[in-house]
Amino acid sequence: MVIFSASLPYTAYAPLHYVLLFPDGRNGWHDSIPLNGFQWDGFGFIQDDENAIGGRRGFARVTMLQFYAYILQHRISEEWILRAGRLLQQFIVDAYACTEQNCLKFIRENQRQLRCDLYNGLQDALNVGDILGNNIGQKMILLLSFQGGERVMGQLYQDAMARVRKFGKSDLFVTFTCNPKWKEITNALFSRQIAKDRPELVTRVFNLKLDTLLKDIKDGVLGNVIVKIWVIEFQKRGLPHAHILLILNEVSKLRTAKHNDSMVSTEIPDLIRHPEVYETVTSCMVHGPCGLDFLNAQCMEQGKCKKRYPRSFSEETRCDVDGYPEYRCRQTRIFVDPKM
Amino acid sequence: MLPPLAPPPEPLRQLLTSNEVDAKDFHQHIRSYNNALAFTFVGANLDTSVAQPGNYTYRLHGELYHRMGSLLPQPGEAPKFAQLYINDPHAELDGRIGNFGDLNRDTLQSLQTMLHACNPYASIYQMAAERLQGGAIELSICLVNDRRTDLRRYNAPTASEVGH
Repeated sequence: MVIFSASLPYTAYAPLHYVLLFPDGRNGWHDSIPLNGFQWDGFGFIQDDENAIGGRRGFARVTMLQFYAYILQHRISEEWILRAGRLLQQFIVDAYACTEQNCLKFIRENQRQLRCDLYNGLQDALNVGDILGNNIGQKMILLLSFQGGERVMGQLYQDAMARVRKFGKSDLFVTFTCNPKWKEITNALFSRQIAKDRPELVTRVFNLKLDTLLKDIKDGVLGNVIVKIWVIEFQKRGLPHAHILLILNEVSKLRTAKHNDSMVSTEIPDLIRHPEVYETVTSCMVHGPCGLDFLNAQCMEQGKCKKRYPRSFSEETRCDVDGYPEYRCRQTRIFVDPKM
Repeated sequence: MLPPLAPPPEPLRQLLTSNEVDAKDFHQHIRSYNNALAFTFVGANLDTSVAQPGNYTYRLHGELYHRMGSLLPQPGEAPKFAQLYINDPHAELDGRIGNFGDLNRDTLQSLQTMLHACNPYASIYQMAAERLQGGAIELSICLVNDRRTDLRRYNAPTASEVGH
């Protein structure tokens, strides 16, 4: 009987499964790829260029994450891998799962070096009531640097709460959504592609734009910011979305309705004076159509729009009963067809 | 420096870039084409509780694994994945179409021919097939992650380096 061993080295993962992405069967990641300026001599890494810059903590090795990030760059000679559409999506998900799994494997095998005994007592105390049969197993402690792990999320939450305790509640809540029609994205797409065929491109453009926005905020476009807390979420169709909470200093705090209106607007802007804002608002920020004629609209619940549209006009900004401000929305007689 | 990826051989390049009908069909079903030709299958303990219509979510429990079966199918089972590479090309293609019915036969055949020509793993399986016909009783293929051989240069492995 002919039997084949089922355990495969990481090296062979990609070429054996993604035969259409790597038809020449080239090796995938392995743990002895040197960074630029280093050499692997069969036993260890040697530096053959004295100006070589190693990775974090002087590592000379290309990590799995770096390897996959390298493959997903757009190069003129290699762009075909980015043309693979759904296969590319599958490859990215798979590559990410492999990377995270590799990282978790390291943590699992190095609990002793990571001094997890120190934390075990703490965890025991936290889990005193936790004696369900299906929870029994070996407890592993994740590193503080493990993105998305319980410890790092807990720490970030505590940090955010500490800031709010010290500086008071937040003044501004800014959301920033990725738009697949951004020209940076559409210009870089190949023919017949739509944004979802290129998750690497979408996230990269979003990250650059978010960095710019955060820099603008730091430079004071919204006033003097003393605390900035933000989180990135991935929404439907894989579009990233950032929530940003800002606390302003005493001078910049919004105290009066008039001051509020200088920062927040719910009106349709003037086409002549602010053509760019008009374009963005009318194409991305008009709610609807909903109401009794459109009962199937997403926002309709029991015959009512759960976002409280249509709203009444209001000559000035007021604070509503439940703390929601009712922003100034004057009757400007500018009309927009939301179906457009 | 990692070497750049080699440009794809024909007909893959043409299928990925052209606007022809068969290229569009290929693009639409590219994951099925890849699965039909892959040596391994990906397994995972999927959590379907979070999957909702409209919002595609992929969540898995435990580990994601890549698996290869035995070189030959179990008695009574149709050959799949790597097992297909041991058949002769015609039976191989029939097997692939049998597993993934909605694929275009011509496209799949041209891709299969391309892989036979350029993929080192495909040659190993061809070699194994020849030995089996030559009367080998016990045969196994091992993938050896041997740093001393070719890994420093990241070349595609040659047949003899991978097969033992």
